[in-house]
Amino acid sequence: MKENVEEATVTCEEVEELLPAYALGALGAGEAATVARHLARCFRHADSLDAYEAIGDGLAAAVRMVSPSPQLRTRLLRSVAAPPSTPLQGRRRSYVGWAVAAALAALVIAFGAWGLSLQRQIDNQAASRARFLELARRPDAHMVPLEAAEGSVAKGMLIYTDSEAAVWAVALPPLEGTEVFQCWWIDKDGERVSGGSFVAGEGPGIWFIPMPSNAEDFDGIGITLEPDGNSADPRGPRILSGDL
Amino acid sequence: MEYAQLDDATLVTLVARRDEAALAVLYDRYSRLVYSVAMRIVGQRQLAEDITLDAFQKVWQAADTFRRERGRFVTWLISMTRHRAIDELRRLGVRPEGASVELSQGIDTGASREDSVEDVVWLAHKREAVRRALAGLPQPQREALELAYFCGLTQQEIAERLTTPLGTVKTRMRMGMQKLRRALEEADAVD
Repeated sequence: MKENVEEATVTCEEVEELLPAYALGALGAGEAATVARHLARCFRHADSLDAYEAIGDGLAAAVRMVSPSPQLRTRLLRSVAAPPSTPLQGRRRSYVGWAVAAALAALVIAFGAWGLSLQRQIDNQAASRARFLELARRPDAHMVPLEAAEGSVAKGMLIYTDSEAAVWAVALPPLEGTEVFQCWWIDKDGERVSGGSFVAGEGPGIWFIPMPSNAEDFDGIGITLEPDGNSADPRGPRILSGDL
Repeated sequence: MEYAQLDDATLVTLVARRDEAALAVLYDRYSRLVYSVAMRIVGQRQLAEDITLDAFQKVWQAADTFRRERGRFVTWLISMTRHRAIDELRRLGVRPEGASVELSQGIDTGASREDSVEDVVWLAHKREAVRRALAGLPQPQREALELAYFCGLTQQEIAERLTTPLGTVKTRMRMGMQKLRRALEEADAVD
């Protein structure tokens, strides 16, 4: 695609060349404006731009960490604290009060059931997250990225100690019927030992799996999609795997 | 509700509803990262604290404009921090110091008192991937990237500062970014 703009003509190929510097904010004003105009009209570069902008996150995350003073938190929370409300007078106060009460009552009725359901979901999610974080904070915890098998878009991480392990995963394929995901500890000879099975819905999830008693004999983990929860050996395709 | 266990996007939604406790959790989660980036750019504690405060106040004011489908909260937060810090550098007319990033060691997620699962997973991966990728870049390429990101210099300004031809700086930056992109994409198992 080639476009004519007031000051410059730029092609998609030229934009791709300029994108790394554009994402870092390192182009001059003229070039940056030219690229911005092209990007506003051409969506072929969205993935590239996202990828280059993600590098910035990585650069930021790699700096040496230092802590602000403890007082800064207090400054922030004071600065956003709501000022005390001023009472309204006479009939206006009464009218506003009833209107607010009625609106609140309607909201409570409308969202009551939804709220209870959401609360249960949040509580369950919170318990898993708390346990996962507790495991991750242990000094003997190891973190292992789980790589997707060919054809899979799943992503994950294993955290494990000598006695406990947890898998965090996202974008697992949808299950059908009796299908389950099954973890396999892989020893140095390539033998698989089941680490248990789990089911997963949409979005990220956390699953806790027992470590084998002879953990030192294993140097890998795999997660497969099994037709049911009765597999003694892998029968389905591998979805994720990692080296311990 | 245990706010500390909620994910970032949910917390931002609560902040948009004027929930101060949610803002406090986000602060606890990312203040070290934000402050560290600000310190890396401006190099002054008081100014870095002001920038950190400003970034979280912007979160408070503009939480309703955050869209999770457009990216991660931490990306949004870091972007605000970096731009504000670079603006301060320019306002003060400060000549940026040397560009070498002092990389942290070990699995320090950068999150502070109240980690989240996403922090642990995402930051650990990013940190490790970037550390490895940066270490693998030729020094001139790394220098060009860091002068742009942490000092806010344009390619032209970098060329002048290093007394290097502009074309060389452009090539170094493009090649360095392309290598980092490939490295991050390969390592990006959890993002």
